[in-house]
Amino acid sequence: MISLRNVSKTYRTGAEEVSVLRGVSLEIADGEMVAIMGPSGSGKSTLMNLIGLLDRPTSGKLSLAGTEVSLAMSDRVLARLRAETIGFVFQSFQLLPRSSALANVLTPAQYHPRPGSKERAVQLLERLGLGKRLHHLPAELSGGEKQRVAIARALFNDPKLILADEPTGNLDSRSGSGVLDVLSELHNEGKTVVVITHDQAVADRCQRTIHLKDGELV
Amino acid sequence: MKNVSTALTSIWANKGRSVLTVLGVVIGVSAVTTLTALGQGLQADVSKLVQGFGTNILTVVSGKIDPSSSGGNQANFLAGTVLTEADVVALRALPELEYVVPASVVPGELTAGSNVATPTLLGVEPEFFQAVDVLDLTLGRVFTESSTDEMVLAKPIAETLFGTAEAALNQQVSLGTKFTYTVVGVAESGEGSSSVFGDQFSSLGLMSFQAAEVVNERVTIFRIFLKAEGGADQAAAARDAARAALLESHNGVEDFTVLTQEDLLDLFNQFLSLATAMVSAIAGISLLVGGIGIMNIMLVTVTERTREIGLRKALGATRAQIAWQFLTEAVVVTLIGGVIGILISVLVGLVVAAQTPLTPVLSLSVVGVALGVSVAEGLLFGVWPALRAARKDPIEALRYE
Repeated sequence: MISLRNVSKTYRTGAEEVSVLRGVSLEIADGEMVAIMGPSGSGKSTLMNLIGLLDRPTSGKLSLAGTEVSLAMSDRVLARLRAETIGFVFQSFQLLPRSSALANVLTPAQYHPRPGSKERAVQLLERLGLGKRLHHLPAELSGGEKQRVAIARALFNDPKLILADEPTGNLDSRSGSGVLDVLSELHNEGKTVVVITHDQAVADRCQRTIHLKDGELV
Repeated sequence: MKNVSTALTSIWANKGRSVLTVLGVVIGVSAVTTLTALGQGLQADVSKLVQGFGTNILTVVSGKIDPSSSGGNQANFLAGTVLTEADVVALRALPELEYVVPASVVPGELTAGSNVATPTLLGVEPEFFQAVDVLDLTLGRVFTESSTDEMVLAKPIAETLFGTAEAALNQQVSLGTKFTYTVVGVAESGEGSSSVFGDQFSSLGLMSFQAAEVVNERVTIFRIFLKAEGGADQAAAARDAARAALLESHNGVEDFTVLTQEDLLDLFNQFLSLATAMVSAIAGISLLVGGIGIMNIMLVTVTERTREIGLRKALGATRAQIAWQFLTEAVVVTLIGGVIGILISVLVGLVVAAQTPLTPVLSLSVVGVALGVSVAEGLLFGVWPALRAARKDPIEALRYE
């Protein structure tokens, strides 16, 4: 599913060059549920951005779902690959504040329309226990409910990979556990799930944990 | 389509700000459309006047006026007359002219008992009524050519002096203390009179050319009305013939002008287009300032919605799709402003039509241009903010607090 070969990422801040990732190689197979752990500054967010095609490596090779990602790829191709392959779940939910739960789940359809969008969005929300919250605004939902709306949105295009960045970071332990239950269930259905976290309890629910420190695997 | 509803949601969420933002567009669009509508209304009115007056009517005035350019000293229009009886004789010899009617102006006001009226008093020959179609004699008769004590009054003047037109007939009116006239007829502005300029016909008092000579103690020719032989298409030929004849009798000095109704219309249109250009310039500045306001607000919006942009990119939006979303929002704002501006000018038009004799004409093409300008403004001033939105790095955008 995910393959990194000797991937490095360097940022330039003024005259200084900062290496965030140094020669990282890793494989994540189809259907795995993997945690990426590390203290802050370890490069785990950068790793997630690279896997999520939000950023491009400075050097090395990265391929995703059988497609090698190159610097030459156009914005349009990358956007399409992102939309079809990856479902993002963020720590701060990233819901549109003026749109209902249903409209939030439908946001991906603006960019890749498909028939029966609305029915699918309703189904996803019902499946996540939000059948009675379809027309609520994010401000009217609890943290756990917001994150489940975000997961429904991530699932909208039926991606092979769920990429979750600290999905329980803003939740109390009970809601956090509920969200992890959902992610485990998706894993059981055959989706590849990658969770970035610094919480050992979260990592314990994954099959495998990749540890990062100072931009290198440990 | 989805972009439009997203744009409307965002505009509605910031109502106060949106109102202030569209104000510049509203002012610009309503100013231009209102003035264009007034101008077109005025133009239609003047055209009607000219057609009613007869397109084969020509006027000889003192002074050199060039209607095809704004050159020439307009003040000559008002200066002392250079037209003489010799000119009238020369013009009457021309086969191109059916009527040659010299007119004198007589200063003063008319009194009847305790009532006073201040008409424009003209001394003309009785043919005036045949030459100029716009004035219809509705009561009584025309003064005779040699009479010095008969007068025809426009209906409103007769009503001012005697209450009704019927009551005026055969009554006496005084001009100063020395002259007294019998009202032998009452005239009305007939069809084709202008609602705005109709005044000049409804405030006439007419006496014979000789009567005017008696009052003025000399022959003064204020202007000479000519009617071309044949239809309207003969007006230009008649003008050239009249000009040649007058040049000869003025020893080659062109200190007069022969104006056709078309020329008068040109003069008027010239003035109108100058006024329109000035208003358009002001409206242009308003649109420019409004556009800068829109650009500013769109830049603020883009910054405020940085996280949304990051999210949309993560969900698969391309740069072009993000740019279009914000460009659509700018265009929706300016288009709303344009529509409000047009509605305001429609309202102003209705008020003007109800309160004044003028009927503004808001043509479909003006509405179309106004809407086009609104859209163009949104595109022009929305491009930069839209491109800034599109260029945002999704990682930084998602991290933005």
